[in-house]
Amino acid sequence: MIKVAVIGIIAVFLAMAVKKDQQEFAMLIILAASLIILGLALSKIDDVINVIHIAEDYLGNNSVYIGILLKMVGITYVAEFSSNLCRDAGFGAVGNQIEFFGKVMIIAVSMPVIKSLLQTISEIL
Amino acid sequence: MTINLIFKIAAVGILVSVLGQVLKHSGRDEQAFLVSLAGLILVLLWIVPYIEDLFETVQRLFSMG
Repeated sequence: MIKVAVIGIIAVFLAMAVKKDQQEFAMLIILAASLIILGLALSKIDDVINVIHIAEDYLGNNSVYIGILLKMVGITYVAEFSSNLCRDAGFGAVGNQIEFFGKVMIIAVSMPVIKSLLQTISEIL
Repeated sequence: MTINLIFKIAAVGILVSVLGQVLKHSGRDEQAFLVSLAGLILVLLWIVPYIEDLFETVQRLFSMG
């Protein structure tokens, strides 16, 4: 955890130093730092997802929903990562577009769940 | 991989800004722009493999896409 904090702080100060003359390199430093932190986070996420896959076996037939849930988390994370990066660079419009597309993707991914929900409800009634 | 990537990029950034200033003051603005463009492309060449690798890992992990 300390390593991630130190990487972030160092990257921010380096980016500020370079920002005066070259804006592009400041953004590249910020991008590199967030990629490194993403890399460190992914190793931890890997263990969590292995446990989730183990739990998936107990669910039996409706283990599809766990996959959809994981997909949603992935979409949210990537959308958040890229839209914040765009906003940091000063381009809010692109960031909002990415955010909007992320929401659309989540709705699209969750269509099967809604369909099966409606089916179960219609069976009950 | 972790921290020296940031230092490499910062070094290229500072080098390009110094070179740009020198070239600007000696009247060659086009070369200054070309130097900064070259530095930008060099750093992008370093970073793009990391981006591709990390996003591929995210896709594999979250079984998406």
